[in-house]
Amino acid sequence: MIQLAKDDLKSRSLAEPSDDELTLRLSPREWCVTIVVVLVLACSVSSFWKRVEPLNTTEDFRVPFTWSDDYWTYQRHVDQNADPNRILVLGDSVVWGEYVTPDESLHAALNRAMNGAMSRATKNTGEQTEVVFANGGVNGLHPLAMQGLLRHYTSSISRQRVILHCNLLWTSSVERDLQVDEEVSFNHPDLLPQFSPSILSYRASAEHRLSISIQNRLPYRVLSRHFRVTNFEFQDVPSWSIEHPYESPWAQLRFESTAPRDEPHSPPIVWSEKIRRQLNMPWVDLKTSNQWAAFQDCVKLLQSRNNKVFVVVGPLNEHCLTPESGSRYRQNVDIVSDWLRDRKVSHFVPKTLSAEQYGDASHPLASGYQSLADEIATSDSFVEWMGRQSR
Amino acid sequence: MLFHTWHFVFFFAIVYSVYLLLRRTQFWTHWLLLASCVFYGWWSPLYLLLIIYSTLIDFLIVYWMENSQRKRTWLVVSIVSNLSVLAAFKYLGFFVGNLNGLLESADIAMRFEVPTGFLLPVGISFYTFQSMSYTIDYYRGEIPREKSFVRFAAYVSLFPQLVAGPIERAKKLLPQLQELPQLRLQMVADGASLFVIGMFKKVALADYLSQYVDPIYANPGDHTAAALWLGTIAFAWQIYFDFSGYTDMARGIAKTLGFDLMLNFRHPYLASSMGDFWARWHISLSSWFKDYVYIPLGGNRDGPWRTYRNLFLTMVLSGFWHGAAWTFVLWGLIHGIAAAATRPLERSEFYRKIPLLFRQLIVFLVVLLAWVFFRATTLDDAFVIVRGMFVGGWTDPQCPLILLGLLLAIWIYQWTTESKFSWIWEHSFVRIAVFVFIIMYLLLIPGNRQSAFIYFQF
Repeated sequence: MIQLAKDDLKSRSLAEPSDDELTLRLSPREWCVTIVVVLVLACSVSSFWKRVEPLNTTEDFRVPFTWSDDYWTYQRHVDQNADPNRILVLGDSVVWGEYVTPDESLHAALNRAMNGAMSRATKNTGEQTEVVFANGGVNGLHPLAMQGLLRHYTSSISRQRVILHCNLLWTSSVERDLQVDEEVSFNHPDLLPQFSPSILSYRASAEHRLSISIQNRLPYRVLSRHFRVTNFEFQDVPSWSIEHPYESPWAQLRFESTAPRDEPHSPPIVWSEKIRRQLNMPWVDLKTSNQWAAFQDCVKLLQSRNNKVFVVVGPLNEHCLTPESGSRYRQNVDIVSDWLRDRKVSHFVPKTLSAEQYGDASHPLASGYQSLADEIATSDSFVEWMGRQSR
Repeated sequence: MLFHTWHFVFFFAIVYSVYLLLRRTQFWTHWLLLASCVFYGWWSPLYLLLIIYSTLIDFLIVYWMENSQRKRTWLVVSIVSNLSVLAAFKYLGFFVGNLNGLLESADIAMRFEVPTGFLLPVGISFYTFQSMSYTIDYYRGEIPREKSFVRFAAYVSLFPQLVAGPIERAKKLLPQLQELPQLRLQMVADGASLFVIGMFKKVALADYLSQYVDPIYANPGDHTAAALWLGTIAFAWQIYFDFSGYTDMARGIAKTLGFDLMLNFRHPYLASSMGDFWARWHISLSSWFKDYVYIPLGGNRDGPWRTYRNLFLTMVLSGFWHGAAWTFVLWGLIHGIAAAATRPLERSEFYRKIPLLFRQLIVFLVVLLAWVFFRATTLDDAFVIVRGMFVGGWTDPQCPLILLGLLLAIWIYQWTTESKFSWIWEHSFVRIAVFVFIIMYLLLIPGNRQSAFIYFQF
């Protein structure tokens, strides 16, 4: 067959190109130019795209539920709040507002509660510093993921005041604490610490973990994720094109980022209509808890960035817990409170809201948020924290 | 360990750093051997036992052959031992299954147990052939005996080409291992160029095409002619990008280490005859079969009929080399028939007068038909597809326009490189722009999927 080929090739008018002629190749100098161009593009593509796709937000903006995995938009939202007079409330769906509209969630309630307090302070001191609280919650977040989110996407608010919500529900069972010795599906796996500490329920391959660890540190990768989440139905462009064979990917790109209609993720129904029996949550020992350790790391990280941290612990819906489970919960709250006190972190443990103010075991309804915000705003620790910072 | 993974990036960073440090010492081949063992053992440390066996057998046989009057006997021992390994690990299940089928059709109650639990070692067909070529070439007096076992083992197991070729010859690669490879900046730049292009072929093109091909070939009966045609065209390019992408990466890595591996692909779908196709597709394998099967069978020395027979047999064996299934045998058979049947035509004046583009199209169609058998899971599926391609009705094939656009762009690129328009690629600006596009695409677009190379299964 090779002989045949030779015969055939002899007959061709063109001389057989050599390997080097066939291969697109660069000289060392051309490689230098290419690397410089690629570096410039990779470093600037994210900033460039911010200009192409302006993010239109309102005062009560929160990253919409369907965009929960879009950390690029989250980072932009955080960047927009990089201002000493703005305070981001960081946390999971409790902060985000599972059963409420954006203007009913904790940050908005705090803004309302603080307006009264501020106007009183202004009367007394004559100073006029308007502080605005913003929603830094992400639906589906949990402390192990929050650690990654804070590490990679919130550096622009270093030295600022932040409120961190501690939701102990994540330590209520070995499943939620990701301690089960089997693969468990959970939200935001890419934000988890990939290698250390080892998390029993996270079973990604070493290659995947390595890939995620590296990608989390590359600025352009988060933009790539943004495209997948917001433009291509959570798929990469090739996979998307298989499902939409005759559509142009270019037409999918947005040149203005307007968040999808942001409504409560779940209808605001009181928990008692959904949970018939009291829950006997087993609670994990905080000494061995992955989620509590991750929350501690979140606090340490923020402190290392000179953020002025205020922690709100709970309040969990104790009405839906059995007495035994409620007692274990309160013990854990005390441990958390002691740890925060030891680290000199300002914090507040609100009282349990009234039963009709909860949508489930941890998420308040709109009236619950307002009660919670009012209680926080008038608490000594918060007033002292706010006053200390404004001085 | 796949080339397009972070594992490999870290592995290579360590290997390369130490390699550069050891280059001035006598231990650089030892280091390459160790790295190759780690690379291969990454799949399964048990695989190492087989490659050590093949390497040791051929090294010792040539050692004994050197002072023996019975050189031919030793050669037979080498060939039998190598082919036995292949037969045991790759073909035993196939043979036993077919034997049981024969017994059943002859109404004989006896059955043999089909061996299960066998692990087909990655790349076994490649390194076995590479190792065998050493004993055969030594027997023919084409190369001297390699005195260093470490060097010989490094030749058999050199990690860039270990699992899917190119199948190197001892006379080309062993001398490169005997002297310290010259490492010039241009070689490193060439290596990087090849690696990036290979990665683009695999990650951006082959893996994309597979998303269209796989569902069609998984349920061929559910698709009509248009989808079957487009699915087969997509597969033809998928396997080309997959395999040539691997080869480019392998050659690129080898170049950065200072080694020159043989070219394995030369734009096969621009072939204008079946012979030309085999001078462009998997060149290292087709030249291996030419040197060690076709020519020993008599080549084209004993008249046209013997030539056709030899061509036919070589192609069928080549098909069988790819896998222990009738689909591969049939794939080889189609190529054998096509090569033998078109040989006189291709040598005629009439054929040469046919416009080049038309000849290329005809060759592509024949190759395409053969790919159906290569890709189909079973022979029944293959026949369903072939039938469907011609009488399967016509509905919307749902083939992405981007995919078709990409294939057209690649075809035009390949065509320009072999036409009078090849000057386009001589411009520095054009080449830099292409590389910037490729790298940015690889950085931004693909997801986290990492699929193995198709040829690893062979």
